[in-house]
Amino acid sequence: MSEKAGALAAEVPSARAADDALHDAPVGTFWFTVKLWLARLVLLAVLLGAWEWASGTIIDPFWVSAPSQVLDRLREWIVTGSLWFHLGITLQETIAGFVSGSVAGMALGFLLGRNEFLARVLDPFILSIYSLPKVALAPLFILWFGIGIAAKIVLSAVIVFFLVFYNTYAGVRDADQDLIDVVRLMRGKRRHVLTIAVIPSAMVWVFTGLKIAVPYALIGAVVGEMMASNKGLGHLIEGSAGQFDTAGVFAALLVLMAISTTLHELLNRLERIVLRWKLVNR
Amino acid sequence: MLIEYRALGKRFWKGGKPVQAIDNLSFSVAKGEFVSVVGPSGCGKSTLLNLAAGLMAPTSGEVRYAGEPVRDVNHRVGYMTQKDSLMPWRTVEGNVDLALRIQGVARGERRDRTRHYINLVGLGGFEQHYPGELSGGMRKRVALARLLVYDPETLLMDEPFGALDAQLKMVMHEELLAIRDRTNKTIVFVTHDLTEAVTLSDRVVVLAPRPGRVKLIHEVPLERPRNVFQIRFTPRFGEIFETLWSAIEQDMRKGEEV
Repeated sequence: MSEKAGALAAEVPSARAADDALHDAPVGTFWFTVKLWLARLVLLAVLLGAWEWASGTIIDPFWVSAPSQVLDRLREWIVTGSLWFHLGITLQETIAGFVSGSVAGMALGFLLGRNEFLARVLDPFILSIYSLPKVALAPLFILWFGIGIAAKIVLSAVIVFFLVFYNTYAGVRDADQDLIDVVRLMRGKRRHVLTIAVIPSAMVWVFTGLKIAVPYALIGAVVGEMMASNKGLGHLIEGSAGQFDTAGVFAALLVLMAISTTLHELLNRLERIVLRWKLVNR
Repeated sequence: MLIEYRALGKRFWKGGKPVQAIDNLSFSVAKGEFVSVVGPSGCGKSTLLNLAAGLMAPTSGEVRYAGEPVRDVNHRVGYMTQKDSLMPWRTVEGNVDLALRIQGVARGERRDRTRHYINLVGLGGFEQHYPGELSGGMRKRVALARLLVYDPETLLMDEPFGALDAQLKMVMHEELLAIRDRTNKTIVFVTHDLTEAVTLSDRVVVLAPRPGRVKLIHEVPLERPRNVFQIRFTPRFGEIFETLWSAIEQDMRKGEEV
């Protein structure tokens, strides 16, 4: 019986997993949370332990370094202060790119979502730029804006822009016409229709776009730094790799991971505040 | 006449095929009159309200409001649709005070009026709840409070009490009639509940389905103010009910076969 269930679970992972989680342990209770985190910590310890062990016994540490060496390198960067400097640069680019790209994406998304003719006129233009791999624009931006942080911000913003724009646009188009009519019948002007019916409804989609865009904002900044820069985490990775310092590469990757998950979590919290009404709609 | 439907026709396109929802339909509603529209499903009852609200345009004929053809959204009517159409992101209070906010009513007055109508529909204590937390019947009552709070000249109501239990329904009937007697509002009321139609109305319009057209218009000469709890047991009520029922019955049976 249990084997059968296991085989099924392998076939349809998502549905089965969700089902099992519901039946297995009462999700959300204190002990469930303790168990969950314990399991995660054990898995992390096993992975790190295996890495540490394998490095030097199976694989040459030159290629994979080792957790202890990565930690050493991080400690060194913290002591010399270079970590904070590079981290600060990358964060600055990522956040500036993310914010400007999202604001522009939301603005155009709302504008075109409410103006179908304009949307149709612009559609092929937007689509053709969208279909371009945006990192291919990096050399052009470096040419225009130099090797400072401006080029990275622009690259990051362009990538984020499309993700947020398309989601916002879809969200606006998805707004319930009945709700819009309610506002119109009450003598609501255009701005009332927007603020009362359209924007709150589109926020669900906007947040989906924003959350997808976080790691991409980081991609824009780091790719820019790797191409032409003398600072930032991308430069740190490029520099470490150039000196065959795998520990340095992994240390920088670790920091990138930390940035990305932190930003994602911040957005999650903001979403829980803005979309509070969704939490009760169960 | 406040609302006039003149030789009205409305065609929809469904899956590439035209469907005649309403055909050559005419009747009028006088100012201050309470008119119910009844009939089996598919006879275009809701469409009539949408047309009067200016949310859609007729295919032929016209709809006039206060002598003028309805061309755009009709701001002089308040419309309670069959779907409750509450904003899920606004609390009960935030939904009810919508029209007052749009009108720019000052905060204190807005709060007082909103609370008054929330209490009136029996939802005191639920002001800060979101629609997602409420039952279907409660959401309907929020929609009713939202309609009444801004005092529109005419009320268009599409099965407003359909989701309520029998007792609450009667309480709402009593309240609606009290408001009507006090304000002399014009009300067009769509329902499939004949008892409800006779209890509330001055006139009942029976529609025949596919395409929707007027089958019978019947006066309800019952005295006002009415006692909504007892009026249904009077002989006069029974007679009117029978007449209307026999008009609807034929189409109901036909409707089942289709």
